[in-house]
Amino acid sequence: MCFRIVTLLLLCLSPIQLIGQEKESSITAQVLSNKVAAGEIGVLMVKIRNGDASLPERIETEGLDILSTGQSVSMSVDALGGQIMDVTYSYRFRGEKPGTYTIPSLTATIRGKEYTTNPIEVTIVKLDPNDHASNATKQYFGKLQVSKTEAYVNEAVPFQMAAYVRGKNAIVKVIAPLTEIKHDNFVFQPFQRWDTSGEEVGNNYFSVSTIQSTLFALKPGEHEIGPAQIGVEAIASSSTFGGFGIFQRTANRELATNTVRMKIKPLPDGAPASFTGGVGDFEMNITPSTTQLNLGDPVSMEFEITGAGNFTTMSAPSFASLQKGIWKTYEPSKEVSEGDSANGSVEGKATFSQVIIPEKKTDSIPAFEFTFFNPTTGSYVTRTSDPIPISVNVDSGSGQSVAIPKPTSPQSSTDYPAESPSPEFNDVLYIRTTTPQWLSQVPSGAPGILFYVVQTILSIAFCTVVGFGVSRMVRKYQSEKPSRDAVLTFRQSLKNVPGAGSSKKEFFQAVATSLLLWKKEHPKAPGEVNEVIDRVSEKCESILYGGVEELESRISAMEAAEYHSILSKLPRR
Amino acid sequence: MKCLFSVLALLFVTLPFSGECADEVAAKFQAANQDYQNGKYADAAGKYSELTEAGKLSPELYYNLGASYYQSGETGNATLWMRRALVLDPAMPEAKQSLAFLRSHTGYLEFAESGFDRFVRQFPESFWKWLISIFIWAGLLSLAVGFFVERLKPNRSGLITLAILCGLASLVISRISSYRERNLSITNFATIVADASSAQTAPTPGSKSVIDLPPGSEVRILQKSGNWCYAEIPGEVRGWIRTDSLEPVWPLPSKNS
Repeated sequence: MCFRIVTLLLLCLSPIQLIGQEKESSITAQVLSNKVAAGEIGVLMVKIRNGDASLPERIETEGLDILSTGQSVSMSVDALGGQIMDVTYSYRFRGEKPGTYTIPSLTATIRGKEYTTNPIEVTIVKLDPNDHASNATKQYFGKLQVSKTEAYVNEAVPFQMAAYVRGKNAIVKVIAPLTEIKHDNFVFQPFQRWDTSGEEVGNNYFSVSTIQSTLFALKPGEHEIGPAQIGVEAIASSSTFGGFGIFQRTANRELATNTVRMKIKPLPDGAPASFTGGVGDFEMNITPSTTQLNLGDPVSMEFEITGAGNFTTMSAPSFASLQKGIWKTYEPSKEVSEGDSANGSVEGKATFSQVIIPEKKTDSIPAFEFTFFNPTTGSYVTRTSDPIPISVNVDSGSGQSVAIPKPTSPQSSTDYPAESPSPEFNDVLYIRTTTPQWLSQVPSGAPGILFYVVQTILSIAFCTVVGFGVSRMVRKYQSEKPSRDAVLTFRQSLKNVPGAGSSKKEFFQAVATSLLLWKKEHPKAPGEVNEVIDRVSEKCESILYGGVEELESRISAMEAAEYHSILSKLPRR
Repeated sequence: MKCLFSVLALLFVTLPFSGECADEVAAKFQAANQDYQNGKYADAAGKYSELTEAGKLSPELYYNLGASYYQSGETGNATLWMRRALVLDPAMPEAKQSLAFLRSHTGYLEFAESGFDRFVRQFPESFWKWLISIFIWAGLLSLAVGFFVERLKPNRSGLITLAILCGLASLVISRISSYRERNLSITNFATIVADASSAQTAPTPGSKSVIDLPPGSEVRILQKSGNWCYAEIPGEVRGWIRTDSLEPVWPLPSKNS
């Protein structure tokens, strides 16, 4: 409603009205792309020039869903200096089923006059991730391209990944950690840099960031690479301050690419013995560390392999002919420095260093061979170096084989420890044809008869010791039994009552025991006597257990005599 | 008297036959060797098998049978008989070396043996039983003499300490012995002899695979259930394996079974 008021205001204030001239009005309809993938959104724009009209919110069309997304107004000046006002109504449409559909003509009444648009044919196609044109309706997408879809194992193939984001300068940068391509059967060289440019896709302008590298396959067969992922920082929206980029908002986007099928062929048979896995086109340059040496001195050979190919998987060159007994060789080291692969080239260099030691007097370092497979010609190529003249000094025994002196210390700079041969198990050993060793029984883990004999002996020994010990204890017990079983009498107990000077505890315990025995021996004693005994017993107990008396203190002579007197007056049996 | 006569008669009858049998066995062994040398590996394997089925025990016989199976393309059986040769002669270098080759050739799975396992395995089961019994008796005798021999009463505390130490030692050794019997005893192991075998998640034909078992793979049988065995597989994996795809290393299955 607000927009309509603004439009009417602009119409009222326009010079058209002021000068009273009525400009020709028109209405046109167009789509951004006539070909839209199923499920993707297409854009329909209806432009009304020099006027305005009411257009429906939804355009009913069979097979298409068309909805208004808003309108905009723009002013311009024509060649004659007159002002032109365009009101553009935008619609988005989407089709789910592939086929050709027609957006019907729209009729609008502008200043009492009817204007009609042309019908538009739109083709809804099946979504194909590899169809670049079908991406035109997307806001952003990724694209993967290889320079060739048929290659040999280990052949370096340049490839390119591109990120497309709709709009000019819409890509701020490529985010390396979010950008990756993986496949178990391929090795991908790392990405080094990206180039940003622009490209028109299906009438839409896209910002494009392109990254290039190389790949090589490890296994033959049909392989599908992708989808890869490209991470970009892209402009999400711009401010209303004229698009100067000051208040632009960015967002990280992860763009999935299409997939690419590659046919990887195995290397042909018939590779020469000096083939070390190189595939590409290479040159070889050899430099020895010295040409003047003594017998047994090491020479460091440097092999520089330059060209384009798989430097990471190739091995070092080898002698063109067998040098056993003449030259001793050691495992070479390798250093790879590949060139800038950003432009898709794979130029680089591999440097191998290998120590060789003369074991006999010789006048040259023999030729080295380096064989690689050239995928362009489809054949094996061998590079052969020239023999390098050297001078080998021999102290004695000229021309005789000498043993390589063993290093004196591990820190020595000329240490080259001899390699111990390691066994190789390449087949089962031949059968044993000697007379076999026939066994009467399987060696079992069960203990033999000796074990049980020893157990028996030890059992007997144990039982003997225990038996003797127990019998001795029984005998001792029995010998001590009479004395233990003997009954103490009152008379005997009197002998146990100590005299003056003994501890009270000992004294009163003895007195109490004597009284107890007396009572036991005289169950029918007269009542008066019993009373006296009870009283004396109670006194003894109160002294012993009352906690008043110092039990460890000595009993006086008088007190002891008193109790002895009582005890002695008691009748005895 | 009658009984003695019967025994002598039996010896008289059987002794010549036993000598003849030995010659026959040696002849059959040589014939099998000849077949092997002539490249008739299947025939050689058949002749060696006849000897093993007759109950003949020899590390060389078992080794030769394993080599014949290998040459006939039966790597699972080859590995099995090499292992059986090692049961009879644990130090047999030919069997060890050929097993190393077979392992690299077929990539079969094998239980990793720790240093402790090697130490425990190098002593026979009887050795551990001897040790246990020695420590138990030493402990018991120490207690007995400490308590019942008057002259040793002053040393009673020392003898009791000795008895406790002997008891602890016998306890530790009995644990080692049971570990050996449970985990290292050859009777618990089996070898995969079928070519395309795998451990399954359940003892049913349609169950999913846990791991492929190349021929010669070593497994430890935990439970038998009909045509399936529940087994421990190297790499701390367990699964169900068809009984007909494996053979116990030891003892040899009887002819009837």
